[in-house]
Amino acid sequence: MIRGRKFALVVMLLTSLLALLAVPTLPDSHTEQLFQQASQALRSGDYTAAESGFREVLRAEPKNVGALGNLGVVYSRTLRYAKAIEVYKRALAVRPNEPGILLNIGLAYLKQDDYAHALPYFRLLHALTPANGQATNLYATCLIFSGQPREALDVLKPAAQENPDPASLYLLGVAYTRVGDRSSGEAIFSKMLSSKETKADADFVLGKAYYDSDRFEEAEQSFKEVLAANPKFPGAHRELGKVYLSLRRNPDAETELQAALRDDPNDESATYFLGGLYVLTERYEKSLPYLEQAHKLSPDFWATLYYLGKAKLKLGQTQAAVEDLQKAAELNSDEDSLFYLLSKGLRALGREEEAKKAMQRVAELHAQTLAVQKKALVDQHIVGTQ
Amino acid sequence: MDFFSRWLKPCSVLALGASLIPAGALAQGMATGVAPPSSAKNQKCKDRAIPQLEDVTDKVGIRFSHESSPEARYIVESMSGGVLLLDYDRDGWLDIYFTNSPTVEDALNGKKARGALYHNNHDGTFTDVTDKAGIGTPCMAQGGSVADYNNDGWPDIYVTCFKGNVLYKNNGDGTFSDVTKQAGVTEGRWSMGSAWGDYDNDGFVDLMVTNYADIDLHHPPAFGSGATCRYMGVDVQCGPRGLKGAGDSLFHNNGDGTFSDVSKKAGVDDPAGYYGLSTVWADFNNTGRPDIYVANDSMAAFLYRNDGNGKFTDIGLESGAALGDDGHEQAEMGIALGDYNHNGRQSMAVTDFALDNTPLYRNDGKWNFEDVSYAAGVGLASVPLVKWGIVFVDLDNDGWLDLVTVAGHVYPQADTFVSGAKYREPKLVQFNQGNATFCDASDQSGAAILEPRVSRGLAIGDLFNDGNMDLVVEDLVGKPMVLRNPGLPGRHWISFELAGTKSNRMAIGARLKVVAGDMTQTAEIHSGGSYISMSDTRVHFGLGPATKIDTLEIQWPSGKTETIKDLAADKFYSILEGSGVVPPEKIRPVVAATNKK
Repeated sequence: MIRGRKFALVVMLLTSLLALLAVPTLPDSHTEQLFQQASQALRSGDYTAAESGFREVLRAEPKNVGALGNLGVVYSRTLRYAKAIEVYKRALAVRPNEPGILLNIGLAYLKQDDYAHALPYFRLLHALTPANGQATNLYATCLIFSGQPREALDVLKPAAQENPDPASLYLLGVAYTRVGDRSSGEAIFSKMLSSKETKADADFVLGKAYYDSDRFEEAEQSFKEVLAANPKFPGAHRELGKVYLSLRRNPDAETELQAALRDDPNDESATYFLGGLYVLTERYEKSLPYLEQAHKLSPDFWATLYYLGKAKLKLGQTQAAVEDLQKAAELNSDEDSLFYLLSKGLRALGREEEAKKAMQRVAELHAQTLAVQKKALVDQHIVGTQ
Repeated sequence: MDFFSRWLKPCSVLALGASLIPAGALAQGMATGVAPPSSAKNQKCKDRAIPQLEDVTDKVGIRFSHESSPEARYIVESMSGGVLLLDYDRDGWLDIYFTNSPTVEDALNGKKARGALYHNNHDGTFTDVTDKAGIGTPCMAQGGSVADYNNDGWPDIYVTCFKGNVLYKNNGDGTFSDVTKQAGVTEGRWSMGSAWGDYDNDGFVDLMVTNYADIDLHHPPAFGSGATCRYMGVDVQCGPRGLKGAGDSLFHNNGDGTFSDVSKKAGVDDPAGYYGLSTVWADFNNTGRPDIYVANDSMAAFLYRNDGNGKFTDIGLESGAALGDDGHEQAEMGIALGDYNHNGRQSMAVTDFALDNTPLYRNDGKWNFEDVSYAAGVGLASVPLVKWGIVFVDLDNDGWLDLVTVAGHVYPQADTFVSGAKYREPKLVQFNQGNATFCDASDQSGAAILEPRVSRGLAIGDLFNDGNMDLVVEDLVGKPMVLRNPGLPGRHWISFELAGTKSNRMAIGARLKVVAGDMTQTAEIHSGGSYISMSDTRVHFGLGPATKIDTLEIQWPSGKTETIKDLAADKFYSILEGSGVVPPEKIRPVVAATNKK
C-alpha cells in the first residue's frame, strides 16, 4: 500500500529491494524441503502458506537465518513491520553482517518512515558493500530525513558522480535543498529530468521532488502543470491533494483527493488520506467509510486503525475505538501518540491498569527517542560521554 | 500526533506524512505540534474597551540592558531573562530586579553580566540601586524567585544560575547577603526555575529548583554539528534534545535559616534528568497542600501530587497536563496559574515552542486536566510564536483573568527560515470574555505589544499603586519593557497583601475567595511562575462595576480560615493572619535606620 510518506518517490525508485534469503545449509532434508516449499509459496505470493512453512522450519531450527529472514519478508509484504523487525533482529543476532537481513530490516523501518532506526542498518550495509548503489541511496535517505543532509551529501556526491542514477540524483537534489543550497538542488533536478519522456512525467517527478523537499508551493505548481497537460495523469490529483494538506488548504485537499478517487476508486492512498483529512477536520462520521475502506484494502496498516480509533473515540464509540487502537498497537508498538490515545480510551472505559500500562509505553518511547538523540551527539563527539 | 497534521515531525513514523513545515525539528524546543483543528478560531476582540498598554521603560528611568550573543551559538546564550517584582524595602511599592547573563565567550574570559535592582521612587520613576544592594553579579543568572525564607518580614531573593545559584538574604537595610552556602541551597547544575511553597505547612517556605542541561562551557556542543543542532535545515545551537539533562532539587526549610535537600526522599529529584525550566507550587486539588508543576523543555511535564507525608507522586501523564493533546512532548517553558473560569480551581496555561499551541489546561478537578486552548480561543494565535513568559492577569478589572504571553525565537537564525519565522516576535494579549473563552486584542492593546522583541521573562504587578496591573518584560536582547496599564474608567478593584503569623510570612500558598455581587473569584499566592520570573504577591481582583466586596475568605497555609465581610473597592488592604485587616505597618518589619535612599 502506498502510504503517502514523504519519501514515496524514493521508495518507488528503489523498488523490489526486499531480499529473499538464499537457501540455507540444512542438514535435515525434511526441513530443507519445508524451506523450499515455503520459499516457493513466498515467491508465488501465498503468504499464509509461506508463513506457516517458515514457522515450521523455525520450530526445527530456531536459529535458521534463511527462515527468519524470509519470515520477515512475509511479514513485510503483509505490512506487519513490527513483527518483521522482530524476526530480522533474531536473524541478525545469529549473523550480524548478513547484507540481506540488514537491507530488509532497514527497509521495514523505512516503510514506517522511521529513518532513525533504519539508519544504523543501512550505515553498516553501506560499509559492508560500498559499491552497492541501493545501499548508498538508502543510507543517504536515512541521513537526509533524520536531519543529517550534510552527511548525506558526503555519501551521495561520489556515488552520483560514478553512477548518476535517478534515485541518487534525486536524493542529491533533496540533500542540497535541505542544507539550503537551492541552486545546486535545482541543477540536480534539471539534470535528473533531462531523461524524462514527457513534460507531464517530468513535472510529476519534479512535483514529488519539491514535495519531498518541503517546497510545497513549487510542488503545487508542478502538479498543476501535470494536470494541465494531462487531467487524467495517474496519481496527480492525489499528490496535489497531499500538497494541499501540507499547506493546510483542507478544502482544496479534499477536492483533489475526491478527484483522485473519481479517477481511481481503488486508490488506497487517496482513500486513506481523505479519511484522515475528515478526522483532521473533525468530520468523524464522514471519515469512517473511507477509513473502513482503507482498512479493508490494507488490514495490517496500523495508521488507518489509529485514525479509525480516533474517530470512534470522538464519536463516543469508546469500546470500538479501543479495539481498533489495540489492533494498531499490535501492528506498531513504537508510536507514542497511538498509545496515548489508547490510554485515554482505556481510562474512559475504567480499565485503569491497562490505561496505565499504555501510558507507560508512551513514556518508554519518549525515553527511547531521547536516548537515541543523546547517543547520536556522543557518537559524533559533539558532547562527551554521558 | 496526527500523522499528517503534525507540523514538524521528528524522524519517527509519520504515516500520512504531509507536513506544512520542513522536518528537522529535533533541535531546541523540538516543536512537534499538532496542526490546529479546523474549528480553531482566533476571535478578535470587538465591542469592548481595551486598556492601552504603554511602554514607559525610558520614562520611568529603566536603563538596564540584557547581554546577548548575536548568533547565540550555544543554548546557554538563549535562556536567561527572568524578571522579579518584589518590595524589597517594604515601603509598599514594587521594585524590579532584572537578571543578566554573559555570552559564553565573555564568561570564559571572566567577564560578568550585571543584573539590576531598581527601586521604586513612588513618583512613577525608578532608581538603580544595584550597587548598594550588592546583587549585580551573582552568577550567569537565568531567573529567580522571591520569598521570606526566614520569616523576618524582608523578602529574600533566590537567583537561578548556570551553575552556582545564589540565595540573597535581605538585610532590611537595602542590602543583601549571599547566604547560599550557610543556608544549604547550593546548586551546582544549570538551574532555571525556582519557586517557594510550604509543602508540609510548617510555617516555613521550601524551595523547588529545576535544572536544565549539563553543558561544559569549555567544551560546548558545536553549533550546527548534529541532527539536534539543526532546525529547518539551518545550523543552530545544539540542544536541549540530545544533551545530558539534569535532575531537580527540593530543599526543605528547617526553620533555622538552613535547608535540607529532600529531593530524592520526596520523589521530585527527576533521576531521568528532564530539561526542567519553570516550576510552580499550587494547590491543584484544594487539599490545602501545595503540589508542584514542572515545565520540562521538549519532554513530558511533571505534575507532582503532594501526598501529604513529605512525598510527592508524579501524575502528569495520567492527569492530562504533561503532554500535548495527542501525546507528543511539548517544549514547555513558562507557566501561568489562575482560576480563569471561576470554577474555584487553579488552571494552567503553559508556553512552548513555535508551531505548537499554548495549552490551556483547564482544571476539572480530581486531577483531570483538559487542554481547551483551541476551544477557549487562545490556541491559534499562539502557534506561530516561540513563547516564554505567560501570566493570567485582569488587565481591565472586569473580574475575569486575561492572558498575556511574551515571545521571541530561540535562534537568531530564525530570520532565514523558509517558514517565515522571525527572531523577534510580538506579544499576545488575550481578553477573557467571561464565558471561558478569550478574544485576541494583541493589535488593540497599544503599539508596544506588536513591537517584535526577543522576550523571555514576564511579571505582573501594580507598579504605580493605581489599581491597574502593569507588566514588566525582560528581553534576552537589549532593553526590557515596562508596560504601564492605564486601566479603564469605571472599573473597580481591590488588592490584598497578606502576612502570615502561623503561616509563612508572605502567606505563599494562601487561597483567597472574593465574592462581589454574583461574582466569585479565587486566587492563590504564588512564588515563581511565568517564565522563571516573579510577580507581585499582593492579590489583585478586578471587580467591574462593583464598589465593594461582600466577603473575602482566606484559607491560610496553616489551615486556618478567615472571613472578612464588606470591604470597599479601590483600596489596598493589609491582612495579618488571625487579625483581619490591619494598617500596612502592622505587616511590615521595622525599617532599619540605614535604609534610606
